[in-house]
Amino acid sequence: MFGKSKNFNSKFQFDLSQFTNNAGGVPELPQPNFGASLPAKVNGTNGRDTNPGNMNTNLNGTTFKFEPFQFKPPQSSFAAPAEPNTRAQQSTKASETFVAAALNPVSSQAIVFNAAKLPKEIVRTTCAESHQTSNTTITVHDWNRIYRGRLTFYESTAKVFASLHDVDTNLHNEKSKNLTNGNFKTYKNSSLHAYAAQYTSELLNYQKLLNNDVRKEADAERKTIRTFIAVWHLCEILFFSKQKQAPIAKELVEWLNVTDKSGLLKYDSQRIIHHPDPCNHPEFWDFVYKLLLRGQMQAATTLLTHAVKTIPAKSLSTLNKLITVLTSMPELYTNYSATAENRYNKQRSKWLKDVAQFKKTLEQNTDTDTAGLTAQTLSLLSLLEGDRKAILEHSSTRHEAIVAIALYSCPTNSRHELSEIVQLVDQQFPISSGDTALEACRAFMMGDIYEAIVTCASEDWWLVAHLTDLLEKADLLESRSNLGLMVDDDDVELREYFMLNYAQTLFSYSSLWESAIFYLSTCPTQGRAWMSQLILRIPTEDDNTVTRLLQTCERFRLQEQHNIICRIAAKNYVLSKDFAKAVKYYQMAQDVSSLGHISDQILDSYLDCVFGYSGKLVCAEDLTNIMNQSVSVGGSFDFLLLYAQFREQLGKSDYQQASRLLLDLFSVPSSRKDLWPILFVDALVLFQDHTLFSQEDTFHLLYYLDQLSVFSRGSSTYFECLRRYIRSSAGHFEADQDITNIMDTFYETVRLGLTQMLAQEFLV
Amino acid sequence: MSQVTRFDTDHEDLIHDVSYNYYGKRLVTCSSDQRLKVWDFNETGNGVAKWEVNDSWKAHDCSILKVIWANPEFGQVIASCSFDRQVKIWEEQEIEPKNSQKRWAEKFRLVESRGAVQDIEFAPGNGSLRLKFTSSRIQATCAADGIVRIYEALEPTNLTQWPQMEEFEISSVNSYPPGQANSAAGNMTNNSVGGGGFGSQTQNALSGPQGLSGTGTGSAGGVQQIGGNSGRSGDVGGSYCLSWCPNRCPAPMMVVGLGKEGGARIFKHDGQNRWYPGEYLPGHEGEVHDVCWAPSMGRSYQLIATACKDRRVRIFKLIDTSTNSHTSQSMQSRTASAKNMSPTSSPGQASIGKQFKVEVLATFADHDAEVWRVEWNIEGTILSSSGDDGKVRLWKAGFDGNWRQMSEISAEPRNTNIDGSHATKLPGYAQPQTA
Repeated sequence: MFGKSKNFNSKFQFDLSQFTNNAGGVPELPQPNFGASLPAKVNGTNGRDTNPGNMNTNLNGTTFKFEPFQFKPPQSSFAAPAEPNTRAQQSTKASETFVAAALNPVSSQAIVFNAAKLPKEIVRTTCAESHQTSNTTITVHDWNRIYRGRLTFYESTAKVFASLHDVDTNLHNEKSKNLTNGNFKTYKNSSLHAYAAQYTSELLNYQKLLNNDVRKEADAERKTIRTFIAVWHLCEILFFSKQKQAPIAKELVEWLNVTDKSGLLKYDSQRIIHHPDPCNHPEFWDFVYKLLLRGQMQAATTLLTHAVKTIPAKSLSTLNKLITVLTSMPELYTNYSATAENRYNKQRSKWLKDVAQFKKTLEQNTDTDTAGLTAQTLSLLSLLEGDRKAILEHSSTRHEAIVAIALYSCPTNSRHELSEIVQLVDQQFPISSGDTALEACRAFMMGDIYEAIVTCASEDWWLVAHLTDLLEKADLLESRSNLGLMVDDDDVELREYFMLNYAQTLFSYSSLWESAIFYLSTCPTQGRAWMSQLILRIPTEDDNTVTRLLQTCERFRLQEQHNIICRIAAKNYVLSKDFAKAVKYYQMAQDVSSLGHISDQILDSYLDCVFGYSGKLVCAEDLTNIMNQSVSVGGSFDFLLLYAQFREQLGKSDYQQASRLLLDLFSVPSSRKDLWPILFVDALVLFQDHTLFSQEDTFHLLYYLDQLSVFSRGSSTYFECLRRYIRSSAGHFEADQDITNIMDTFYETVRLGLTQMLAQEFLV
Repeated sequence: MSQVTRFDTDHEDLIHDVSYNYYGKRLVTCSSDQRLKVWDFNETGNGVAKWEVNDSWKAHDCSILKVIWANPEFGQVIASCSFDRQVKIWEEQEIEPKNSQKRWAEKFRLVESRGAVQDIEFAPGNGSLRLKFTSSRIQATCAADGIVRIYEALEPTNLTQWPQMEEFEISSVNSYPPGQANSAAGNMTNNSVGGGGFGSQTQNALSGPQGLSGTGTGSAGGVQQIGGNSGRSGDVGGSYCLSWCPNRCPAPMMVVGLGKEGGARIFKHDGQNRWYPGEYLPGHEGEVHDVCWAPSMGRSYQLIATACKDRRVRIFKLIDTSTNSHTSQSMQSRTASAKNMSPTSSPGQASIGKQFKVEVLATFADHDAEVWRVEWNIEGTILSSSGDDGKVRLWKAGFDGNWRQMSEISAEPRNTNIDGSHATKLPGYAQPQTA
């Protein structure tokens, strides 16, 4: 007489096997204790913000008190009550210092210290004594430190976010139009549902990881994540469902059993099942009610089947019929259509008649031996029929009641029809102030998205940032101006406000800066300004980080930041004497001025570096490569490049090439005349071979030498470099030579070399 | 969750200032013991990290009042100012070992001040290219002699030359002719102040004494003149403070605390080489101990915070009226010119500078005690304030646009608390703090 049973084939369906093998079950998580008497919330300025006025919360085994702030005199902040004379001293202490802070530019840390109001010199004059205290301790406070394991969760959800926003970008191109077959709305709904489900999945994965952490400090995080899951999963069902008209009851059952396992886990299922007479176990019927209230039809049926084995023969038929009622309950449709709805209503109508018939039979039963079973069965049948009073009577939490009413009383209701149930449940299960999960879930069920977001905002930036992101995509988020929150015309919308703050949190953790930048890139109003500012705060510690930073700048077209990072990297390499890299980064920054300075610095360093520095300037090949990558920047860099190549050719004994470079070095516009003496000295070896230079070249060289003598007449400035060069070449222990001697020797030697070469050229 | 770690700086006298470097990985502390100490945050592989001394050295001949880091573009550079009337520029020498007292070399000293140098700040990195001001080469100093001096390193790679580029006198008592100080202050209507006085008194404002100050250390005059004033270093004009506008502007601007005169005023560069007084920040009933100009981060308006002796923290909102009301600005310029109010203002001044409508966005009396410092975070979203009540309070604007206290911190961790009655219910703030 009953139809065929179809239980929910859900991954979240409660599995009775865990009753018989409890060892592998999820450990029971302690429920947050918000205290029985929480004060009414204190409204914010806009009347929407809520603050717990006085909340005692037990986290990590420590009781924290949230109390309205009451000003305490500074003295009491520093020491316990003391003798009067000590107090006087403290008063002096308090007057000469104040508690100051310095904010860490990157993280949520603040350095807090006792700062002197007056310099010692003034205190000494006015107080006849120097600073009486020397409290020089620094405390580092982190006001927003998160559970360390959270970072992996942030990383994994950042990938989902990046994927979502990449798709979003692609939705408007040709490829995606083909992909959506023109039905953009359906595609968007389906896409949003998939991403919402992915976030849920990441949350659940993180919860599993958390459950492995047995330390006390993980308790607070477990509570937070339970709230995340409760809110997020509910939103997935309410707002991001593919089938918005489909009945919500089944999904609510899943939601309840995922987010609140404690209702079932409190029963010792093994003990009940293995009881000699399960029906007479004191918790048997409570457990059956609980399973049914939570939509666990299969588990309830299995439990009843176990009871059948030991039940007296008189009661057997009643129990068997009850099992049949359960197994024949019509399966709710998942894909909405009018046909599916009609078919279901017909099946349900027939099933309800069967239930009514069964109840009638039971009511006529006068056997006192089975009176207990009959009463329980009647009560269960009332629940299954959707009797709201019966449901409320047996529910122990508001969410249980809501889900059971939705499932049994109005199973075909869609997500838009939840508010009536919520209001009904409110009377029996009022929400205590400060319970974010309950408050937010209620507001979402009532369709008050803004109120719900305000509540969620007290929990964590992750939740509100990602929620508002998806809600905005689903066109469910009111603009700030519509909400009456627009302070200025260019104020950011809610989503952006939360996104900026979440990115700021990410940025506090050095490993997540790239994710932070991506989140910021999705903020249309202020995102770019934030990106421009924050990307510069990543330490350019190594080449790899610099490369990643520069790639990010290129990706988001942050040209100015690109150049600044290059300049910072270049400066770092200058300090570490890695001149080739310094030149490379200055070149990338297109910083001609600094490139000129660094070129001069390299040349100057060269004069001092022969001894103990292997005499190597910078690799000419490196410089050539750098130069080939972009246009010449001119100035000292060109001279440096030529000189490096000249030195390299000399080293390779390629004198032909070196002689060409030598002439270029003299003639290039940026030629440094104070280095000409060094050029001549370096070139002495070339003057041995007259074939390297033409007569014209030699005359040019003599002309340059003559120019040098004109410039240096009466001034030894032009030979200071040569003196340094000789000194460093000869070693530190060589006594400084007289500059006049150096000049005389120089001119003698170079003239001789050039004259000999010229003579040989004439002879040939 | 709040976490607290602590370490002793081992200064032999009270600390005056602590400053994070650009990346928040280094610290420098300065003290009345005349020493600077640089600290490195060293992280080991196993997640243990601690602050370790990089070097400590005697840097001045009197108490060091403030110390700041330059932008890393210019290397590892810090500047310190002292009661000895000097500002010194220090550069890290990587070849010198740590804790050798030689790690930080003095590159230059600025000696023009005639009183204790009370505040210093490097110019922001986005200075106007038209003015050829680039980044941290420019530095402003604020001395007890009531003069703001601006210096610029001639070459970014050479920190041994810091000529003084400009200077201006802070006090309007000396620089404004009778009857015009109020004009420069603008007309306050409720919480709004017009940008009156724009371009006025350029000549007088720039007529501060030039040349080097005395060579002696300390400032006997300052000590004698301080009286009962409890300013940061004390002098005839009280304590002065300054803060550059960190945002991209046609011409540089800064806000300066006016010492005993009370209040704070914006000073603007005329695009050439002069500074002139701009809008007055009204409402203060005492000396302004500290000012801080917030990064705008894409907002169309500017925010300035002040810490005042009158026990208030204030946030001022500056709305740029020069872009939207070009016509009215021209009108004002013409009017000013007709009245001969700015005889020496440069022709380009009106077109370069911004005009602001000043509003008091928030006033917080929560410290209920003298407030000494204010500081914005780099995003300009969180303001910290330090008061005589032994608390550091953090303020933040909620998504409703209202500024509220989000947290308070005590030096003693056991007193760290959340102000439940006022705290904005925002992530991370309604968390218990495990002190």
